[in-house]
Formats: sequence, structure tokens, C-alpha cells
Amino acid sequence: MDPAANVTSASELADRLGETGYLCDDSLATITFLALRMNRPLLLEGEPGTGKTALAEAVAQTLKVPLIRLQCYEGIDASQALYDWDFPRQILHLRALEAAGGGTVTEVEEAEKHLFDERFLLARPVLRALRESPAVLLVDEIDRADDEFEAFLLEVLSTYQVTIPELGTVTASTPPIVVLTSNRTREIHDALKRRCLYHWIEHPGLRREVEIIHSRAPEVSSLLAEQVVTIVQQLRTRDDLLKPPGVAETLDWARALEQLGTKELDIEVAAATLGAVVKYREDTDRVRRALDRMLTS
Amino acid sequence: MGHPPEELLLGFTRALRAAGVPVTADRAQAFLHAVTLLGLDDHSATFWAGEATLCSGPDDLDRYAQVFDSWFLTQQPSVVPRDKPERTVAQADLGDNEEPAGERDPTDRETVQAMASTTEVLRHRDIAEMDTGEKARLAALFSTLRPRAPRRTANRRTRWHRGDIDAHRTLRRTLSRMGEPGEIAWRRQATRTRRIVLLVDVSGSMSAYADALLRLAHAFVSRQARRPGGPARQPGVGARQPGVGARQPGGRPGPPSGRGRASAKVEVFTIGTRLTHVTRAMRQRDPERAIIAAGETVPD
Repeated sequence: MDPAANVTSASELADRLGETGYLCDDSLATITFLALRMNRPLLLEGEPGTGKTALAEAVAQTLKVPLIRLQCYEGIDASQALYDWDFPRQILHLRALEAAGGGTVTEVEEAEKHLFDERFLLARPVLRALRESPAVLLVDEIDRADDEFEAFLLEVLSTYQVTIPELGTVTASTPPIVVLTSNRTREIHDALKRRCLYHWIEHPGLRREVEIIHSRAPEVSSLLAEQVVTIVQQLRTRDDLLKPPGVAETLDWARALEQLGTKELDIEVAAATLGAVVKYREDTDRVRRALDRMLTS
Repeated sequence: MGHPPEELLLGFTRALRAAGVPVTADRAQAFLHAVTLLGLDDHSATFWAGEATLCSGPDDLDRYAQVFDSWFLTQQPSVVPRDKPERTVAQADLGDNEEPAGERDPTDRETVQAMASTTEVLRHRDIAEMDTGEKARLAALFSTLRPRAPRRTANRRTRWHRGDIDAHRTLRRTLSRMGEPGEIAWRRQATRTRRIVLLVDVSGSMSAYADALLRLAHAFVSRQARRPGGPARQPGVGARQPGVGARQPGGRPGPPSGRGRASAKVEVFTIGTRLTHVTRAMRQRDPERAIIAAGETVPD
């Protein structure tokens, strides 16, 4: 019962993703379709805010499977990603047995066996994804994790199974759909990349970004959406910004302006709400100086 | 064309490899698989399938697009896979080896150059062009440097506030409470300092830089001498070092490990016409004297 089996073509997938409000271009749809069909992880790279994480959410929604998210950080290890034993509860269990009055040798052995029981197992995201599969496993910002974790992930992603010494091997009945995202703060190891289908997500074009605003924030008027996108697109082409705004920022800004009841963008409102788009003080200063020109053009 | 499709596609992966995209056999296989799923009739789908399976980073994308164009579009020129990406990636023109012999001028190949970031160069002053005053200031700056040795993960484990359970320590703690279970001890992989080997080029062409480079080396060595090896696992070694350096300023070339000094974490060699081991000379506290001592050691 592979939920991906009833997606027959890339364009159909694009349409269905579109229904959930995620608009993707043909290339991304094709590659996502391939990832579903080839049972391979999808490695998405791109500037922050181009919708890498959102894709995983949209795929989960489209296929009506749960989304399980593993946020990577420096120092993450297998016990955070895979499974862990609930140590305090195990001790509590022992104490409870003790309070109940010890027992014979066989009972002690029995109790020991029970210690590594299913109920003391804390399933972390990867194990959960394998068990609950079909599911979408989102491994977010893999570039933040250490090399060792990558190697560990490679092992799981190539076999889709995990061995717990005390319990046995957990194998996914249908491999989960895995989406890895990276912001390229460092290079991902080639072995992991080879396992994956790679795609670099670009910032969307002007038309597409306006469509995204319509789809994600339908309350924003067309005129406002167009003005916002025009400015954001101009900001992205500037090379002096520390961090060019992503689509997420565009949406934030459009929503913020809508909240203020703005119907048409003017320089005062734009300057006041600039914090939604650029997140560095230096950037804010630069943009504020250039706003006048950008609005009139 | 008369070629079976898999031959065309595999030929394309070859061409791509020739153009500098590291395509491995398993990637090529995945590419074929992907194309089978999508069908050969759709050129843009083939393009994206290849991009997903054969490229491993944004640096590869432009090159991929170029090779794709010249490989497939020479046969069916009507399809344009996509516009050139706007992002400018510093990339080398590799002379498109896949093209049938000699369509490119050999001078084209000479444009193959790695592009370094120009801004970085402008940000730094060239040490060679500095006058004596600036050099003195630079020397003072070097002496304020407190370089921190890079670290690597070690085999040992050390206590930490999270990580995996340190069964031994937990058990000992429990035993000390007469078997009453209590706090759980955690541990993680320890780190230790990496060894640093500095190779300083003191040959004629680099003579203007030699002084500054040696000062930098001195900063590394003296830092390490003051803080014995970072972790206190080798007590005494660091403390002994300055004494050794002072007694024997004339170090002999050769690998230090051969003389039982494997614990020294920073080694400095100069390269001129020959390799000279100057770590001992560098251990003197005063940079001026250390550099003079190093100069005496270096035969050229």
C-alpha cells in the first residue's frame, strides 16, 4: 500500500501539490516524482526560505501520510535521532517490582527481560518513520549535523532498517519518503549525496511568486502582492545584502502589510514594516535608502 | 541516429565526467533508472532526471546544462531545457571534451582558471610591500595572536551533560548510595588537539614573507608551550619544552617522532632548498631570538 503508487506522472504530482497550496515548477515536480518512484531520498539545497521544508510538508499532505521531522543540530547523535531507552522509567519499574516484594530467581530473570521491552523504548524520529511508514521523514538542515551523524544516516537510508540489539531489527514495510534539506553551510559528504536525488531550489520568478502569495495568503490583494514581490525580487538581485529575503519573508511581509490594512504600498509603510523582509541592521539601512527608487520604478 | 538509447545516455554521463562533473557508475545507473521511469520522449524530464541523479552541488549545475545542450541538442536542436541560471558560479570552461575533435580553439583552453575571490585579496595587504614601521606593528600583532589548536574527536569518552549513558559512572554513583538509583551520568566522545605541522616556505622568492610566516609559526609554538598540549593528559611535556629549546637551539632535521617527541603538538619546518626542522628554535619565548635561532638552523 504504497501511497506513492497512485501518482502516475510528474505533472499529476505538481497538480496535487498545487491543491495543497505548494506551487512547484516542472523540474521540482519531476524530481519529487522520481524520488517517490525510485524510493530514494531527496536532497534539497538552496537559499534559506525557498520552500525546501515546505515541500516535505506538502508531499505529506498530498499523499495523506504523517510528516515526521528530524531537526538536525550540532552534536546530534543516534540516541536523539533513532531510539533511546527510557532509563528513569526502567529504574522506576525495578523499584516497583522491588516494592512488590522481590521474588524467586526466575521472576528476577523475567523482570530483567521486561526491562528492554517495547514500552521502555523511546522511538525518535527515524525509528518512528520506519515504523509508521508510509510516512514522510524530513531531515531538516542536515548540514548542521556532524560527519558521524551523516554516516549513520547513510546507513539507515540505504537499508531502511535499524537494529536494536535488545529488540531486534525494525524494517520499514514500505520505505518512507525521505527529504533532506541543506542550507549549504558545509558540503554534504559525497557518499550521502550519491544515495540521494539532488535538487537546487532557486528563488521563484516574479509571476510564480505572486501566485505563491495568492495561494498561501489569499487575503492579500493582487496589487499589494505584486508590489511586494517586485520589491523583494529587486532586493534579491542586489549583491550588497547580507541575507537576501526568501519566499517565507515575502509571505511574512505581505501578511504583515495586510494586517495593517495597507491597500497600496507606500514608502512610509514599507519602511516601517521592513523588519519582516530584511533581518540585519546593515541591510535595513541599505534598503531603506533605496526604497524610494525601488517604489517608483 | 542508430544508437540505442542507453548508449546515448551512458555516453552523456561519460561526457559529463570528462567535463569535470564527478559522475560515478552508481550515479549513471540511477540516471538510467530515472529516465526509464519518466520516458525518453520528454527532453526536459530527461534534463531534470540527470540533474537530480548526476549533479552533487550547485557548482555542477552550469556545467551540466552546457554538456546537456551540446550532447542532446545537437541531435534535436528545437528543445531548450531551461534558461541559464542567473547565479554566477565561478566555473572553469573545460573545453567540452565531448565535442567531436577540435571544434574549439586551443586558446580557449587557456581560459581554464580557478577563480579566487577578488574581494579577499583586496582586503589583505601584501606583507612584502610593507615598510619597516608597518612590519614592526605586524610583529606586535603577531605576538598578540593566541591561536587555538584545532581539535578532533578522540577514542576516549568524557563526562557531559547529555549524550549517551555512562553506565560505569552511573553504577558507581548508585553503589555509593547503597544501591539507591539516582542521577544518571552521561558521556560523550572526547576531543583532543590535532597535531599541527607548519611548512614555512623560506626560499628566495618568498623571502619577503619569511619573517612574518616565522612569527606566525612562533605564535603557534609558544602558545602550545605555555598550555601543555591542551588537555592535561601529558603533564610535564609542555613544561619541559622551553628548557629543551633553550639548551639546544640548533635543532637537527628529521622527524620528531623518531626521538621520542611524538607528544609535541606543533612542528615547524622550513622549506628552502631543503627541509629543516626548526621547532626547537621556535620554542624560545622571545620571537626575535627565536627567529634568529631559526635562521642559524636553516642552512640556506
